[in-house]
Amino acid sequence: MFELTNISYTYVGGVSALDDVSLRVESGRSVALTGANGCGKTTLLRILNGLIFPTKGEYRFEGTKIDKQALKDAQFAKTFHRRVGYVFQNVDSQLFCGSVEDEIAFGPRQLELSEQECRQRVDDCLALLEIEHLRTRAPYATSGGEKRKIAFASVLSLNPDALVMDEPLAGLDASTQTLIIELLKKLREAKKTLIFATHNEELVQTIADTRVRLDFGKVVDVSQST
Amino acid sequence: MQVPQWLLQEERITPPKDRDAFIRKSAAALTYVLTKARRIDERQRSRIAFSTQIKLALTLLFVLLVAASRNFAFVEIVGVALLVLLATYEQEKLARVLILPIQALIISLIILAPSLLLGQTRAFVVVPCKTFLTTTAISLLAYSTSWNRFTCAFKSFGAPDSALFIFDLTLKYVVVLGEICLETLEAVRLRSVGRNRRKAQTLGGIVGVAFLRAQKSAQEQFDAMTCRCFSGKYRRFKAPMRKIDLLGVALCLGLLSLFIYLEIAIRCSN
Ligand SMILES: Nc1ncnc2c1ncn2[C@@H]1O[C@H](COP(=O)(O)OP(=O)(O)OP(=O)(O)O)[C@@H](O)[C@H]1O
Ligand SMILES: [Mg+2]
Repeated sequence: MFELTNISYTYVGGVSALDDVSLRVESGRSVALTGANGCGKTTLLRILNGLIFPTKGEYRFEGTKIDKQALKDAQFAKTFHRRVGYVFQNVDSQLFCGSVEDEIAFGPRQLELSEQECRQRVDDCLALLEIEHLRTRAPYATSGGEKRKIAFASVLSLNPDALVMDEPLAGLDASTQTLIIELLKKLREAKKTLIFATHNEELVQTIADTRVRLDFGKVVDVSQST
Repeated sequence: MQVPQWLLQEERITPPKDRDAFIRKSAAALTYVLTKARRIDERQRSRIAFSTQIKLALTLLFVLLVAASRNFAFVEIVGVALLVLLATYEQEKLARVLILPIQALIISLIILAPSLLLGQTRAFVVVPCKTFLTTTAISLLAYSTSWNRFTCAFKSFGAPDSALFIFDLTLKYVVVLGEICLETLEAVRLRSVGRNRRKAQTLGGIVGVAFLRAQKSAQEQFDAMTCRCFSGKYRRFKAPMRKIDLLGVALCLGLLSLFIYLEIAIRCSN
């Protein structure tokens, strides 16, 4: 599904964040990216989502090369973004609607689902993440952990084929962490592709088929778990 | 936990087509402007590295004198000097510095076009020239100085703390707002997967939320300053006088004497 070939990425100003990284992720697999702070996990995930483009090397999504040109085709870009969901590391910047309800309904409405179906999805997502009580609140005025749950809900409501997550458990309490892990297990059983960056060993142990270790922008180790 | 059925199935919907060039184009334009604004902080030091106070004083003096001068020879002389300075800039930097002055020039030409019909050719030349020179000077100053240095420079000119605080917070707010707009646009792009029937509403809502968030985080930055012992007092910025700054002072004096000389000359000849 995702195929990175010898990609490097250098930020404006000359910081080299990724250096000659190659990675293949088949559909339905789950991959954990681990490594120290600043080793390039977020950068890699942003490339996978087509937010930035590798300065060297090639990124293909189901055989289509993802670059500026490819995403200029609005129809293709929409399909791509629908199929690949992204939960930011900094969820603060991911929420832009006036209420939690609108936030979750934003995607389904764009897909022109019937109003009833939209409502169904909103209700399901609110229930799934146990945030029904936040329904009418303003996302920017919620707590850090609540924001992460809202971000999850608003991405899941699009029913993406692949879910890319940057530190999905950061800032969540123990029971919510368990909730998310259970949810990801179910999604994995449903053959969704999962790619996540994390420092949480439990998450890696329970969810990941493959662990990719990064260090200073290089892949230093790829190990399969049983 | 009950995962809803729709979430476990593969989605079959193909995104509806939409004429969303409007959102995409305005997003692209905004991104472009904002990344430019952000560069302000990433700029390198310019070659003429006067201290900020000198630069600020020189620019203010320049603007004041050019605006006040009644002898066109003064405008010509400093104009040539400014152009020589600009000629040392690389092409790309030059373009960035000149965007604003050129716009100002064009606008002033349009506004003054009627004066040509009335036979006021002098005004048609003088005013646009002055406009161009003053905006260029300011644009040069803005281009070669990072914003937080201005706060220090104003302080050393004796501006009161309360005024500085508002100035400082406003700058922070503008920078934070830019950052937030960029991030939000990314998030919007990722979830713009189909047709949006309420474009204006969406865009309006997003902008509103961005403003609120910018205000919140500017406030948080201020809280952070307080936690690190900021008491509302700005320290006086004491940069040691360097040799190059003496040159700056000399330039100021030179500019002033040239102005006085030429003004007297024109008064005597009248
Ligand atoms: N906008 C930016 N401009 C310049 N350099 C950046 C930028 N963002 C990140 N970097 C640098 O790129 C490198 C990789 O950053 P990245 O955010 O991918 O790390 P990370 O693995 O996600 O770290 P963390 O675990 O702290 O989230 C770091 O050295 C970082 O300093
Ligand atoms: Mg990161």
